[in-house]
Parts: sequence; structure tokens; C-alpha cells
Amino acid sequence: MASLPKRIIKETERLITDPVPGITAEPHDDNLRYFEVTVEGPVGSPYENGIFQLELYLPDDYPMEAPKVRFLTKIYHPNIDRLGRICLDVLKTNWSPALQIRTVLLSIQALLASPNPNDPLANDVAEDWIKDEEAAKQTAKKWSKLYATPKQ
Amino acid sequence: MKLDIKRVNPVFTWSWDTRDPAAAKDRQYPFLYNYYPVDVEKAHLENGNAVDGDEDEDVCGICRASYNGTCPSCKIPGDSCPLVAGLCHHHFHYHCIFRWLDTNTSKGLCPMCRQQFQLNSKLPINRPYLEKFESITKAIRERVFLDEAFDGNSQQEEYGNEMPSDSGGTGQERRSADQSDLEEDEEEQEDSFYGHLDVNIE
Ligand SMILES: [Zn+2]
Ligand SMILES: [Zn+2]
Ligand SMILES: [Zn+2]
Repeated sequence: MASLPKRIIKETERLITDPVPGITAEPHDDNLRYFEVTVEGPVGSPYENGIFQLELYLPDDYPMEAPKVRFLTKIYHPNIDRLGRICLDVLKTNWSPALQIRTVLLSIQALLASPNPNDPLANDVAEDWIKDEEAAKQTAKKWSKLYATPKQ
Repeated sequence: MKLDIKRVNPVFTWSWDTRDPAAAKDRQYPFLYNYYPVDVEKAHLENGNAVDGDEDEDVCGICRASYNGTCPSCKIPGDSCPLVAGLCHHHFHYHCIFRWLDTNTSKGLCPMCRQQFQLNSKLPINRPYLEKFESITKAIRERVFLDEAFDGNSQQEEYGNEMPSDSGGTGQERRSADQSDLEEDEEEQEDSFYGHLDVNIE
């Protein structure tokens, strides 16, 4: 494997020494481009108290190409599908190499705080969300409890 | 007391000159066309700061290495890995901004401020690259135009049943949803990404 670009080393160091509140990201021992991520559900959202696991991978062309991020924890959210794929503009058309791992993870946390059923990835969830937001939020809460509660 | 100076070891340092040429009359060393001498002590300070980079003004916003350093693919700073200055006052290593503009995602925009990236034609450091950037910009404009035309025609086929039929996003957004599809990563060799322009990094 090619040596790790300085930028990735710097970003990783900063993620560890100066972590974003509510977010952890640790590189894998044998692949420093692969990160195990946890994101706490934002306070006041149906995901509150949940801890969600994600995987983040920096493609060879990073930062020309956005990181690939996916939820590993099951989540009920109109912009996250069954496979954990995330519909978020900065991961796609609005990616810029001026963004970083930390800004991407912050955007994901913000997406949990404000779901956008009008730009869905999980269509059925989005439909529920538009039809009856309260009920959808209850389901999201239930799922968080079921799947995103750390086992003690 | 009498001192005999036996030897002098001059130390020089340099920096890319991204100052407005309007201020050129203050320039003490007009013969140094691309470079201007900076205070050695100041340079040391700057280098010290550049170590923890991120918030530093004088780093390339793409690779986060110092302006006077190199892009990740180069080893020797200076003319072989030049700096270019945007009209928007964002500067990048030539190789970094070139690789970015050559992606489909860039749409020709500056990574920092998302305005169309254009070189400031008045700056001497940009002079050797003006023509090249002109042709890149033209190629991008054509590509964006073709992409839009293409997306308008063939959305159905491209996304099949798998993708959600959202009414909000544009075709382009959905196309990149495809590209960042984790499932398909392994099969999909994305070097095609860089195959679009017939200009190459030198
Ligand atoms: Zn650079
Ligand atoms: Zn270079
Ligand atoms: Zn700019």
C-alpha cells in the first residue's frame, strides 16, 4: 500500500487529540484509511441516547473524492437506507477537498438532528415521515433503543 | 576589541509571491520574479506553526501542506511544484487544484469558496499556467453541459428500480449517489473519473 498522505495523518492525529464532542473516529490497525466511528444521537432528537456505529473509508483519491461513510447500526431515518447508506450532499455533489473527516461527521450528526424527508434515500421511511411525523419519530426512538443502545 | 570576520554564511529563504502586483513598486528585489526574500526569523516561526497546519492561513486548502512545500506527489518544492493564486484569493499547489478541477464533482469550483476557480492573470506566478487553465475551464464547461444534457435524457435507465424516485434532487445528485455507493465500490474502478480531460499533469 502506498504511504499515507500527510493530510490524512494530520487529520487522524487531530481526531484523536481534539475529538469532536459526541463523535469518535479511530483508524483500523491494519488499514489507516478505514475508521471505526461512533456518533451519539443529538439531544432533543429521536436518536437521543443512542450510540450509532458507522464505518468510514478514505478512498485512494481522497481528498479529491469524498470519504465513504455508512451506518452499521440499524437506524430509522428518511435519508439513511437499509444498508446504512447516507443521502447527504457533502458526501456527493457538494463534496469539496476543503472539507475533512471531522466536518463530514459533524454533518452526519446534524442530519440526525434534522431529517429531510423531502430528499429521501429510504423512501418508505420518508413516506411515513411525511404522513405522520410524530409516529415516525416514535418508531425512530424505538429503533434507537432497540439497536443503538450500548450493551452493558 | 578587533574582530576578524573570516567567513560569512549567508542564509536565504524564499516564498511564493502572491501579493497584489499593484504593490510591486515596494518590491526591493525586482529581479526575483517569482520569489521574494522573507525575514529568516519570520520564516522559522511560520515553519514552526505549519506543523500543526490546519488553521494556518498559508497552507494549501487541498493537501494542507505549506504553500512553499510540495503537493503530496512531489518531493522538491519550487518551480517543479508551483503555487497558483485564484482570483478569489485562494491559493493552491498547481498539482492539487489541477487534480480537483479534473474531477466530475468539482464543476470548476474553488474548494474553499465554491466560486468558479480562475487564476489571477495579473500575478507573475500564475503567468506560465494561464493558457493551461483556460483550456481546463473550457473542458469543464463542456463536460458540465454534456452531463446535464445526458442526465435529462436517461435518468430512468441509469437508476433502475433500486434508487428511490425522489422528486427533489436533480439527476446529477442521484448520479453521485451511485458513485458513492459502498456496495459497488469494489467492482467499480473509478479511474474513469480522471479520464475526461485530454490535458495531463506535467
Ligand atoms: Zn496542495
Ligand atoms: Zn506537486
Ligand atoms: Zn476561492
